[in-house]
Amino acid sequence: MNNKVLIVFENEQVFSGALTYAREYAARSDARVTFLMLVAMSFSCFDFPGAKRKMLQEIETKTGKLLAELTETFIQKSLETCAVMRIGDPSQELLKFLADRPSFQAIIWGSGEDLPFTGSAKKKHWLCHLSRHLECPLLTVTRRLK
Amino acid sequence: MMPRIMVIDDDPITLKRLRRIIEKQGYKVSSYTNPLAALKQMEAHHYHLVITDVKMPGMGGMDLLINVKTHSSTTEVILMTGYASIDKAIEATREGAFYYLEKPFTPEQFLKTVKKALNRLQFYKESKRINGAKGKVSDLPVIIGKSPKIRDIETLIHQIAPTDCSVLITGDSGTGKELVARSIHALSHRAKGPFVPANCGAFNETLLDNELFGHEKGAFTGAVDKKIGLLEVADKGTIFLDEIGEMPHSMQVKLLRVLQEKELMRVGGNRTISVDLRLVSATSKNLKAEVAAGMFRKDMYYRINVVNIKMPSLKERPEDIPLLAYHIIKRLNQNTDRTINFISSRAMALLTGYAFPGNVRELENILERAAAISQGHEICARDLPPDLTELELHTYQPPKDYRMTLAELEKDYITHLLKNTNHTKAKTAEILGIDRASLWRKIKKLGLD
Repeated sequence: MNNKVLIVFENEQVFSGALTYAREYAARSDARVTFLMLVAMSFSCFDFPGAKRKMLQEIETKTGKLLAELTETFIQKSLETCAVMRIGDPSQELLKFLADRPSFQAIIWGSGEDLPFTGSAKKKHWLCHLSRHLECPLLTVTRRLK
Repeated sequence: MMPRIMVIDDDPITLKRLRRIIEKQGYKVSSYTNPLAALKQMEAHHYHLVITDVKMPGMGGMDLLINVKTHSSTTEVILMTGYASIDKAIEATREGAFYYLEKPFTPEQFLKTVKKALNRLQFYKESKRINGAKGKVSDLPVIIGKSPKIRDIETLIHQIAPTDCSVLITGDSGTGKELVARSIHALSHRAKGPFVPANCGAFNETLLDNELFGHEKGAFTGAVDKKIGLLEVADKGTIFLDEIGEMPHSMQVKLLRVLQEKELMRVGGNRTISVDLRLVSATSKNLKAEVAAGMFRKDMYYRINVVNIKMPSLKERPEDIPLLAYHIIKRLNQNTDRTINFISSRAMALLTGYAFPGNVRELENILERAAAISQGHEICARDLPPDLTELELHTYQPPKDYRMTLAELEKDYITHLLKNTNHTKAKTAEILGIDRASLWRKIKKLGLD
């Protein structure tokens, strides 16, 4: 099992189509699936670390439960999975995560349908800015019109 | 060869109109108002496509279809009718009709259907050509594709195979790197020698050392017998080192010595063994970047990268998908007792529209599954995985040689500084060495406001 697929979620939003695609793709490519949940939160130097501790604990519990649910259908299909959660600036956290790991075959955006790639810089999603720095293709999934 | 088309309709005006539409495209057309005379003509000459009306005196279109298919199964038939019904259309398709065209239709609709039928014939022809070619040189690995990128690679392989130079094959997973390596070996003067593949990413350092160099009896606990390494096995042949980017530094040094000195020493051994081998390596990583980052040895990189072959991803050559698909189907038919002859146009459209992040290997897997669940001799859209039929995939991948423009670099740096200074413009301007007004103008110009 040399293939590795990363599915990235943001703020606990999950698009079921992306999950279906990731599962089918991993099954036919015999790939290991890594779930990365990014939770956006800013930590400025003026914050007291203790002030956000309770909130962080709550996020961890909630996200942990969600990730466990998400990985279940993959495990049922005998797919190897791994789930990670990162809190902070999503783009920075994704880059840091990728820097620590061996390269993935594909990165799937799991929190919605297609990303807004056109328009002003402000309207573009942070992942669009990051896509040109990625080593592997970034995949987004949309439902086909009937 | 120019396709031969026959049009049959009892209405001479319609017949003339249809004939003119096809002739305008440069095809050879024969037209008949009498189906029996048309059938007689078809027995004497082969036609690639027959377009016939359904309701005609003497012989109906359905009977004509059955007759045509009995005589020539490769002839495509399009039926036209003003009294279309779903039942009739299903019956016609079962009998082998390519399309059931409902009257009235526009010249564009008619021409589109004709072209689709001719394309299908082209696929058959190509598939036959590949199978024929495969039969002639069955012992040679065949690289399937007619795209310019694949043709260039084939030419390069033929040029470099007789030489003994090291080759580095780069490309994403599933693009056919090992197939290229096998082709190089098969076309070289080492073809009678062994081709030894090894995956450097599949072993840890100690195991890889043992696999490549072998060991002497008693070299370490458990070494109860002598083991010949893969480099020694590849003597007088070719060694293919896949995922060479994963090779540890210490192993790179050892391998470099083998390539330079043409000799190796087994683990625990005290004598050198001469080897005469050719190295073909492959990686999905950007080795140049790995060298720059100090993750891969520079001297090793230049030693293995005498000739570089870059395998295109399947997304870069979608025109090859039908050819590859029919080639895979043919191979599946040979290995199993299934006889899949055709991939429906809808299924083919879904395949050609898919991004294939897993490349040819993924296409193989999809078709294998489809062939297993297909009910007849055809792969339809419903036989494809649900994610292909229900979902649409979009890929965003920058070109590998992407370089930032000055404006992009400027934008990235200003965004980075703004974030790090909590959007304090005075501080950002100070770091950049410009005044606040200039920064403000840049923010507006780059759309960062």
